[in-house]
Amino acid sequence: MSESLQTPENPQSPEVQPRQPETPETAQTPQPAPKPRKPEPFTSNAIRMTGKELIGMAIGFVVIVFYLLPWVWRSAETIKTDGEFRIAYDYRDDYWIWEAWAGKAAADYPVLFLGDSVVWGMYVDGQNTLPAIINRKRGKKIVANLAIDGLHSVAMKRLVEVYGNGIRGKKVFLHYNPLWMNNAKYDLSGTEEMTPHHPRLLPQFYPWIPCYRASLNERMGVVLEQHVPFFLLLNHVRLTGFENEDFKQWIVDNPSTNPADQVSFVIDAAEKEKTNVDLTWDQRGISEQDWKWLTLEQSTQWRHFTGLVRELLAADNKVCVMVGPINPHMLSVASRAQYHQRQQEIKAELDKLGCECILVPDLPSDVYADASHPLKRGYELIADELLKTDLLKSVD
Amino acid sequence: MLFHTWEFVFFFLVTMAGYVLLKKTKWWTLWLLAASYFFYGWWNPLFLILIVYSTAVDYFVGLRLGVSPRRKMWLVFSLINNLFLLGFFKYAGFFCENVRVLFAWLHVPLDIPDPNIILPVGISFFTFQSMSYSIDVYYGNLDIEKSFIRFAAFVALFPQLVAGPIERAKALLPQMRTEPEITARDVTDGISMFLVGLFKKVALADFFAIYADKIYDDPGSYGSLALLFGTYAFAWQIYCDFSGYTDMARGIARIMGIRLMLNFNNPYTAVDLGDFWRRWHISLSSWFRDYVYIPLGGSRGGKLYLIYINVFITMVVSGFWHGAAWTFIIWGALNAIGRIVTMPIDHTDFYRNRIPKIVKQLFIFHFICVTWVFFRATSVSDALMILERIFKGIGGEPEIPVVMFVIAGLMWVYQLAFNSRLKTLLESRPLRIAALSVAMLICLVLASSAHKQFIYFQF
Repeated sequence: MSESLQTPENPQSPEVQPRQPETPETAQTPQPAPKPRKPEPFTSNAIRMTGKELIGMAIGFVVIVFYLLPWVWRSAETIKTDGEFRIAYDYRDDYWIWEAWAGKAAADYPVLFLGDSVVWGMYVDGQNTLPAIINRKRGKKIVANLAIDGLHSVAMKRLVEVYGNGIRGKKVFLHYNPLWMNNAKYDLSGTEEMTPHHPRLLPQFYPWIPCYRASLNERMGVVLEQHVPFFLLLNHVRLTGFENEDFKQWIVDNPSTNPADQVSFVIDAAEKEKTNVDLTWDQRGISEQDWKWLTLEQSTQWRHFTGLVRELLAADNKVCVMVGPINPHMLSVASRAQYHQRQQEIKAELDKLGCECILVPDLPSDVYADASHPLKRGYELIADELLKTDLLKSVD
Repeated sequence: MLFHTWEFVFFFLVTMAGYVLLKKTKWWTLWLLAASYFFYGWWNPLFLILIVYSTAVDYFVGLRLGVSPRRKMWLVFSLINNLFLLGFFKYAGFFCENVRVLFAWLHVPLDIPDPNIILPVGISFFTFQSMSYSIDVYYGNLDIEKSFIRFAAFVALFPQLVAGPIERAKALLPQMRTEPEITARDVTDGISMFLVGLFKKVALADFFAIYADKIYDDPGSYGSLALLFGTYAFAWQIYCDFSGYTDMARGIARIMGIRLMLNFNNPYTAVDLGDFWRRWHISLSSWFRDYVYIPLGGSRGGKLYLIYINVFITMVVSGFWHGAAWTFIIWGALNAIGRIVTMPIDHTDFYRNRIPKIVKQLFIFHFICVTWVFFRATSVSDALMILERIFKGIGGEPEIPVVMFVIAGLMWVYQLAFNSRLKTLLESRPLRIAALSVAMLICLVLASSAHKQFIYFQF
């Protein structure tokens, strides 16, 4: 604002615009002749691109950064999936790892098991998850654990659609957890705002989920991540090397660490923390529940789940659905009856789709850790039931 | 609706489609006005009442200035109206707070409640733009705008509505009077400007902000080095934030065939304070020069003390424009004192020819950083404490993010190179493409899911 202070004394003044106000004072004051004005610079940097350069750069950028770089990265990266592998709890939102694991599992295992924390094994170690017990009972590795904690049916459908391209012509166990149907909120059919599990696997625009209230920017970010591998890769790098923090924040929080050192091409993604827990649901102090189960027509989760079943069947997969377990001992009599009715309705619907279905029977009270998670012995009992299915019997 | 959001992308695509379709008809200004009001109303539809009122008053004053014998009265009416709007919405809280302090000091038992008025986004910008129209028409520097739609579109033009540049009616209204001409070069220039602005905001400003906020939120916990680097971070944050916004604004306008003025010209390469103010927020600096400094007498008359007084008043008013707090007033006063003290030295042969340019640039940058302490600190006492701790050399773990300051250093070197003979090299095709590609890649990597507001929106 002291620009005018440079005139007329300062010969350095480059772009002086003497004003010509015809006030009584200035009219009588001789004004210096206006200096020729320099043309205003385009901008304060050298980035001025032509159309051809912008188009060329955009094409090059999209091809190299958006698609080639993730492909090269994928080729160079090793994700360890030894033993009875299940994706670590901390990496449950890293769909890059899941995509790699699903591809490998589809190639190496005859049976893939998809589900939420019940299949993943919330209260057991890696050797005592449902897929691990089946493998042990069959004496060889036939089932891969593709479950992720919190993976409700709406998210599972999108997960398979976007990242499960390798799941074709396989035998697939799908876990349907009726727990999500015990109220409109968890079923995602309510209108009250909530933050569901795996929001990055929800349909962002269609079908519309009223309780999911993300901003347009968040929704577009998810759509980009689902369609441009580079953004999935970025999220993977942030999760595996930067404690799931924003990169900028991480750099400020770790001022003297070289961010490049955090990037690793060997990822040990196996869950190692979880151990067997013996605490039953009543020891945890969980009280009786009187859930009013939604009907199948009301349920968003069920609608998406049947959509997933149809898609998997259409992709030449043999599908068997495991319905439950739900802890009947913590339900009121009415609620338990309603649950059993829902199980039968689900079975009837799946029969119509031509899909095998197994209803997990009511297990003894002391094998439940909570409303739906069994303890180690519960998994043993469920595994015995699953081994009777046509799907597993058909595996050599 | 921030420029770097999807809301804006969709808004702009729709606006642009209508704009291109209508630009050969008389409806294009109406379309532009409707889009601008929609853009502004997105923050809060109630703000629209304010901008429509302010626009209507100045439009009416403009018409009266053409026919009324009492022209001065109409000009004064316009000025009072605009200053009242600013004063009420921006300074009422500050005024009440200070009166409360004064009453307490005088032991007057009168409690003045806090007015709790919401500051409408961009009010400082559009009132100044509108006010300059009345002044220019009064002095005969500008033709009266007969069309309300055109005048309203000038005041509310969405690319520069909420954070400038404060465009003069003389430059912008003529562009509204003719059918917009959009060349391929306009579009590519606009995209180039926008991408650079995007990089400055998303990759740099928001990055520097994290460190600056961390230090300034609890300055008493940090030693000299951390406070010094926190101030450096803020210096680059505010530059990248504000110049990034105006780069984007200019780019968007350019795509629409509208030219907005350059608002920042690498200010941290300035060699003296006058040079700095010719490079920093140029549209505001020239506004204050033309409508405050020169009317005060400027540098006419030759009496040095009068020039100094004019400089001081102009700078302090400028500080007050930035925010209703004593820290901003002191910021303005410090700049004034710096300018007054260095003005005679700048012109000496010793300063101009003997002192290496880089030393002068470093000196000016550091002086500006001292003033930024007041600009950023939450109170005067905090600012004084920060300066005291910096100069006392208090130890402590500085926690300086090396990567961040390497980026700041590289940007400064780029700007120095751009202002030197190396400019031709920077303009070569491979370097331009490489620079923009790297910038976009950094932008994508560093882009956070959370979008920070632009700093200057609060003004």
